[in-house]
Amino acid sequence: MEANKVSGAVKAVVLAFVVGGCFSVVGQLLLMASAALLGSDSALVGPLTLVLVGLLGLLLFLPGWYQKLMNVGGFGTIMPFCGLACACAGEYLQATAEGGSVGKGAWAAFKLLIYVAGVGIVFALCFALIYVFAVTPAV
Amino acid sequence: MEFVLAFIVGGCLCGLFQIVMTITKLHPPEMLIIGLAIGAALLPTGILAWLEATGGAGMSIMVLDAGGAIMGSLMSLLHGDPSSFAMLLGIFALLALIGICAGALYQKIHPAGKAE
Repeated sequence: MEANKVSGAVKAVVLAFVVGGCFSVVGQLLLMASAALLGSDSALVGPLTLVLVGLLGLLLFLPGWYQKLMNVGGFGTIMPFCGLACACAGEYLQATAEGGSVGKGAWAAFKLLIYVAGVGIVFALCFALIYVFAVTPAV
Repeated sequence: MEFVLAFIVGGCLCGLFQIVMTITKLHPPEMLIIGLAIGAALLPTGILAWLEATGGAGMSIMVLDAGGAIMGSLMSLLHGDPSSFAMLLGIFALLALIGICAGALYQKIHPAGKAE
């Protein structure tokens, strides 16, 4: 029983590695396309790549492929930026599943974003304050 | 070679977080928050820059790098420049909109389908 659990966990990690790696390869293609379009020195290359990765998530979500990939690849599908977009899509669907309005679905999606990004920003703000006002002046 | 390195770096990051999620049994939103926080903490160390130089999109499309981007934009904000923080918020909002569109279109395409 214990051996089954361990082998299941190892399989999950390997699949996360493979799926995450595949998303990274596609992301690299999108990054190179963005750089070719905007010029490699443009400050918008990164943002455009992230938006394109989000759109990739949409394209995978619509036929149900992202959901199947998530069952197989676990965090390999969640960690790339498209994971956040698809998580918002999932929240929208859950909120509207029982006849909820589009507005209710949209609010559920934004609530998830506010929770994840908001708490992340709070942590980052603490680190930024420490770095800017404590570490940097001391150097 | 960039694609191989992107695959390896991106795959390793995802595998590492999968291990943490398996051990801690945290839910994905909490794991994403941890990723953002770790990325923010690592930015001043130069590790994120090294990972991005090595792995390209294997790093830059991951939530860890988003944490570093948040940290960088907040440091700019604290120095009086809000533009990069505003752009970052715009990207997050756009991602949510893409997700909402995905959900709405999915319902149109699969009328009897429920959230998976």
